Amino acid sequence: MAELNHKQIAKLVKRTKDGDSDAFAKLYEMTYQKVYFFSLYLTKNETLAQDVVQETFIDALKYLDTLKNDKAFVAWLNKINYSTALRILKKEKNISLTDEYLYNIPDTSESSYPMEMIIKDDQRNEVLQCIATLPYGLRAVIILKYYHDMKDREIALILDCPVGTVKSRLNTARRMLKEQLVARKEAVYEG
Amino acid sequence: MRDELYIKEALFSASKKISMDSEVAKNTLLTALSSANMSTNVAFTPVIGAAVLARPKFNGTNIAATTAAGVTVLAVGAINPTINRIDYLNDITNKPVELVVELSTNSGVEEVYAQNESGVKYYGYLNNGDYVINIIDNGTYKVEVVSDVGVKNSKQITISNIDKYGPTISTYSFDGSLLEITYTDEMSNIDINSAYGLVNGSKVSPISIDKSSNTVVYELNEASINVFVYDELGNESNYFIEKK
Repeated sequence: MAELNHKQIAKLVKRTKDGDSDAFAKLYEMTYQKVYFFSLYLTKNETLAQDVVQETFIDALKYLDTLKNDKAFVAWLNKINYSTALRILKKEKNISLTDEYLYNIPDTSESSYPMEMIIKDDQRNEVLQCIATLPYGLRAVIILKYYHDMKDREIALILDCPVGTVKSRLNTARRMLKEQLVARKEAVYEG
Repeated sequence: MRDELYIKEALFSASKKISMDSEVAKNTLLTALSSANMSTNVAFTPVIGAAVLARPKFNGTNIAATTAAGVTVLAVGAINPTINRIDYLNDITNKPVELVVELSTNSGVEEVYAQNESGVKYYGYLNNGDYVINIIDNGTYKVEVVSDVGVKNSKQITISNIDKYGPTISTYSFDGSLLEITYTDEMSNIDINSAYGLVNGSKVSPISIDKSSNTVVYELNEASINVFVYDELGNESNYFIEKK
């Protein structure tokens, strides 16, 4: 499939706002796998990720009229995606998603299918394993930066924080990843 | 830079292997369209792998002013979930009372809880489209729904049908070796036939039971007795009585 540009997206958003369900289906077709991937990496649970995708698109369609800049649909969708994932995680795990929890507490919970399959299927890919154990908030920053290829200021808008905070969280996430990878290599050599 | 490339490659490699189930994907789309009352007769081709979408290029300018952050806040702020009704059983019980809270919408809901007069919150969870909150003590509660942007709507309820306590002794007296005990229970009927005693570890039964007054009589030749009885919910009463 060809890459989209903001003009194409803007056209589809406008058509959807005008009541064209086929246009929304097209937007959905182009975005749902990315939304799912992000959801899966945040929740590490297939069922929860599916719930997040559903809630995200329901809210997106419901409030699409409030999107002023149609070209910014994907950024807007990512923001809904992120806040929906946190809301569902909070309910499911009955946890208080404070900044301390989001950015400092490593997530040691096990990944469920299909993430577990991917990670176990490719033992060489230690980077994925390490990303999965990052705290929720840092995991989100890493995926937005390196998978969604977003700029720091765009991430800041999604996470509702200053750009400087995004930079510092990215540094923290990269440092934690590096430390984990080094530790794994050392463990292999010692083993 | 090299580290960043590793991260990118790892994520894109994973994304190619992970796909949302096509049936689930289709149903999700139809659900979204249906919730917006739009036609569900759409052409939809499930895609394999997540790497098919490229992020739109914003040309690097003026994003902060035009992107969706502020808009999203407005959008979410537009959601104002309110409480339609709260259902629960009024029967006397010694188990938690389950509040079933129906909201005007489940979208944009940050949390739903019942807060007692001491400020303790009991959080609800979503079950079959309604929020369920388990209340373990009698009292007045503010049931509140909080939206994503902090808008609160609440209703007040009073729970008075939880009985976690067994019968209490209203009077007892000795007449020689006979111990007469009369029980009372504010909420539940007493299962007076369940009365028994323990004397030096051995179980003894009352020599007489008066159901009309919830009175039992034990013959006690020892210095003390533990007396037990239950109410009809199974709440236990246990008293230690010494001969005077």
